[in-house]
Amino acid sequence: MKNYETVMGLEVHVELATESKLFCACSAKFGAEPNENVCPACAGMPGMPAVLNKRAVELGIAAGLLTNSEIANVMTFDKKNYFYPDLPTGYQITQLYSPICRNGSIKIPLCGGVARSDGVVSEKIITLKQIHIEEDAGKLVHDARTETTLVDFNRAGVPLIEIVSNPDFRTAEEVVAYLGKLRSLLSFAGISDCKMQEGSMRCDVNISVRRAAGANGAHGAQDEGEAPLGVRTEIKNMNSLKAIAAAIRYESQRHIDALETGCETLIQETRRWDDDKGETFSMRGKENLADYRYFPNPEIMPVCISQDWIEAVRNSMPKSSHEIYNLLTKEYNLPEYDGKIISNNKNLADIFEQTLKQYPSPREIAGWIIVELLSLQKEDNKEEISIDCGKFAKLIELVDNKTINRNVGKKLLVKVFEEGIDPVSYVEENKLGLVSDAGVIEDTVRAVLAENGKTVEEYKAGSQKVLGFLIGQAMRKLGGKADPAIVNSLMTKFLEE
Amino acid sequence: MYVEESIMQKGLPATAGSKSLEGFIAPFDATVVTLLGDKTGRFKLGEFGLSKPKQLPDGTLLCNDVFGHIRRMAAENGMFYIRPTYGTVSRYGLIPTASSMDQIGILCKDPNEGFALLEQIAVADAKDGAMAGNTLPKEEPPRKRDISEEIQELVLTVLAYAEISNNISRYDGVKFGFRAAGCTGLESLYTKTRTEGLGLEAKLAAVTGCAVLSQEHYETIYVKAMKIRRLIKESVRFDKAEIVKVTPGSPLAVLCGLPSLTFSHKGEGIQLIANVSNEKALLSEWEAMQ
Repeated sequence: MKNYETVMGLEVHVELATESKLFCACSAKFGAEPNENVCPACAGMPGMPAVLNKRAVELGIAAGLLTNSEIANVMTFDKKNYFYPDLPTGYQITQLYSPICRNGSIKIPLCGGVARSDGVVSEKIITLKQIHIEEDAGKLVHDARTETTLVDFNRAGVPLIEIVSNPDFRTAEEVVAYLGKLRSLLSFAGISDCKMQEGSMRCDVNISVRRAAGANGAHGAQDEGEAPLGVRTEIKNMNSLKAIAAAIRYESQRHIDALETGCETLIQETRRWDDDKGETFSMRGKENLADYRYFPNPEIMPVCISQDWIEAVRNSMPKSSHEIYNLLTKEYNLPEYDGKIISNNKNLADIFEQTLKQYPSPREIAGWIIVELLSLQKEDNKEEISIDCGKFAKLIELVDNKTINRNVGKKLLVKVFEEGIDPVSYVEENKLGLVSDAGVIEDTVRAVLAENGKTVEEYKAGSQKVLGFLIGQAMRKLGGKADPAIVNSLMTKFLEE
Repeated sequence: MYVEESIMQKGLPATAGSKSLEGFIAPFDATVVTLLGDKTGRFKLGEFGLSKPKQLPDGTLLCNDVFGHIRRMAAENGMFYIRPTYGTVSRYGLIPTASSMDQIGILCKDPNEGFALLEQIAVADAKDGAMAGNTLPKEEPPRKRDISEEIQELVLTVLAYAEISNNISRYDGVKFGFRAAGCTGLESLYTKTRTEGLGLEAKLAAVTGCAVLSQEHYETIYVKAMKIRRLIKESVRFDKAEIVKVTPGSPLAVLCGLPSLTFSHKGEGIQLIANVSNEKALLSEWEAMQ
């Protein structure tokens, strides 16, 4: 269906990495027991005037700086009214009329950031309508056993920013690239941890299709900008990049089918993505008819954002992904590939930095992170790696100083990762250290040669490949704890005798 | 001394005169209660201050008066009502009526004692984010325009009802306070609880408030009322005299956040209004009148 062009705008919600909630002192941390982080204010009780969290405003300013946005001199808060049990006060405090940021932009790499033949990585600029600060709602928990619905207000009042883009997206790949860039920018700046699985980054897509430029319609060829936009739907409830891409493909095809076959009439509505079924479905009813009765919040004084404040935020911002890339490739002389992988992921960059403090060997650390840690993470299927960097550093050091070989090191890493063992004492207790006594290795090699007379003859007859078998036998006898290079050289030496 | 039931006293019912808060026990002390410390009596006024109470207490009462019922009754009963400058007394622990106008005031028999009490409770409180002393840029010099009391009343009704409709959304039967019996689902929980829990005046405020905030009427009614409120604020001038005299029921001080003192003088109800934070001028003026 090349005759159609998909047009999309994104609304990305990101939970701010503040200690406390937006308007009260409750902890904003994820993962507490239900209703543990709740006080009269975030439970919606009356008589608790809202007191704005200054740190949330600073993180909002930082987001504005990263996206080249215009930051408001004076921002205000509004109230958005609707009834739902997870919304304790019956209204959400948000910013409609004077948001913190307007007219930003984000450059995204296309084609996965791979350079064209002329060496240029193609880029696209996504423009932002606005960024605003608002409070999150609680969560409904359906208890199948008692057939009741319970409310957990831990998340109620947690600060969010919503980043609203203009309808600049044309493909699912662009959307995925944008979200990756956004995650990198925001997580490196400490604005949010951007975990889609935990819901600290959520994305709603506004989508429509229209006849593409040059498509043979009644009006003939048209410029891209001139074709009128089609009916727009909003899709929600995607909690991974994969789900977002799948939902976009499904929904744009649904629109095209409706236009082509007329089997369905498109209406402006909100639809939920069902990841199991792989389709979107209409959220029938009031959701689509809501009048939120926004009005200025009289309880929160307008907030002045001075140039001095903006500069103070700018000066206290941590290194960006780009700055870290330069540090890795120039200061630590890492290969570009390693530098790119580590600097693209805040989690990896943090592990690298922490480990480097304990053991200053950047190339080795980068190698272990990229080869071993990333494959462990894949098996683990988690968004984030958590490992004790001190133990990780010791492990790398044990391999580097040949106390253990690399294979033992890999096995130990799994134990450090999964069980948090201390590699130094574990190696001692389990006698995993390499056999460094040359006499023992020599004796073992000679014994192997004596036991495998036939194989030795094959070798002498010119069969080089049996060498590997003999070395393997010797390594096994040594419990895998010898330096393979030494075994190799001794084996070759004795065979030549 | 009495404290209105819309002001929280830990462990005691805080109903703001509404059935929707039936059974709600204050989980903490309002800042004014903490400041006063003493044992105080509770006094129930009309639901969220919307309706006229049956009677006033025979002693001093801390209460919020947006709609002027208390001011009028004070003048009728030979008492005094002091409304301080908006934002000088902490609203931490005050069940809100209309947030942009809510202000704890003092009903008393002796204005000297009343103003002495005000000194005790007018203390900066970080727990009320909208207290005086914010860092807004200076507004432009005011322009003089006369706006009739009738229009002022209308503006107050539009804005206060909008804010009330929002502030009472939380009384939905989900978390605390009154929940209607026999609810069959979420829709029915909301509808039955609010139908039975809110009184007639509160329902009127909710419906009117929702209407003026709706997409249909927001620009033509609500925004217009906000603009007129600003014009009203700009119309009050204190360059010739320190005091403006209006009727006890006048919403001028409430709309402008100005301090006022209401009482009866020679059989006539009077409300004196002074400039922001110039409460002492109110007492001097009253003394001069004696």
